[in-house]
Amino acid sequence: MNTRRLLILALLTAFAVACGAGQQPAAAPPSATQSEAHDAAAARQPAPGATTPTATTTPGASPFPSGLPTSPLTPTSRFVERERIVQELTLLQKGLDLSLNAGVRQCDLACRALTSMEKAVEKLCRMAQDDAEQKQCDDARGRLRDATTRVKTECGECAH
Amino acid sequence: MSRWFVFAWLLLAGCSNPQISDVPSTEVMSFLSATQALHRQADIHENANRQGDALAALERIIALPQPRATPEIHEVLADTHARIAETLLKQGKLDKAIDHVRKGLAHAQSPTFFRGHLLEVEGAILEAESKNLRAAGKESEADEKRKAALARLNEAVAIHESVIRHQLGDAGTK
Repeated sequence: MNTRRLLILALLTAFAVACGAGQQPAAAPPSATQSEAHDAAAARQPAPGATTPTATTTPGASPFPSGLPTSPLTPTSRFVERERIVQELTLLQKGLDLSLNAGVRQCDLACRALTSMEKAVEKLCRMAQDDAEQKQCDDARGRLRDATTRVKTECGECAH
Repeated sequence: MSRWFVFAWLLLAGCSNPQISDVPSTEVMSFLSATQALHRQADIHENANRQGDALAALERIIALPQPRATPEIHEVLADTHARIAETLLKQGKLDKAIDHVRKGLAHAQSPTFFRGHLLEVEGAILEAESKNLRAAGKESEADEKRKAALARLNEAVAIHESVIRHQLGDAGTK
């Protein structure tokens, strides 16, 4: 239950981080792809008075000779693209690490709080003398029971 | 042991993504790292039953040059003062113990685990003081301390309850 919750949280965070990461690197590399696209578009425009070169000037046709990959990625833009993917993966991993760590920290703090709460309730009840103090003790025991259930449900057993 | 999760998380949060945490300063990271090492040292001494050495390691944390105060630094200092106070309580040094609780509370003013823990330790110290006063035949003073201890412990219970609720949401109740 808890592991599944953590996993869902981790995946959601990773997804959010990946989506956010996709924005930035996509904005930087375009300088390369945009200039290539611009070059390609310019190549399709016949210069006034120039002789029309072969198939590359055909509207809608690939600017690359047939037989070569149709992807417009040059070695430079392939490198940029690879860098962008690596960057996204790194961010994704960090997001995953952080959300898992956040889950661990939540349970760790909850467990530490529960341990301290147990000690406080134990002393509270040990020192109770009159009816009012006994009532406080009973009330605190009830709250401790609820807190224990909550922690056990979400975190499993705490390592004391 | 679980204390290391908190320190590790603080360190990871500090170095993983500056957009998610505001703890990237080198001074803060160094302080947290040194604190972790000294807490480990204190663990080793405690396990070998060398309370004095454990205490010395913990007191070195307080004496470390502190970077600008961030919430993480306050948490670490509050936690360390609580641990020192617990160690002093075991040694029967109640005045010094209560002094560390007060110093710790100055670093934990909002209702966090760290404040709740300090109040629980304060309750234990006040209980010990109450017992000493009773043993010395000072009944009314002893009862005053006992009531003060109950008040701190009630406060600790309330804080821990809200910390657990806050950390885990409303799942698992009723």
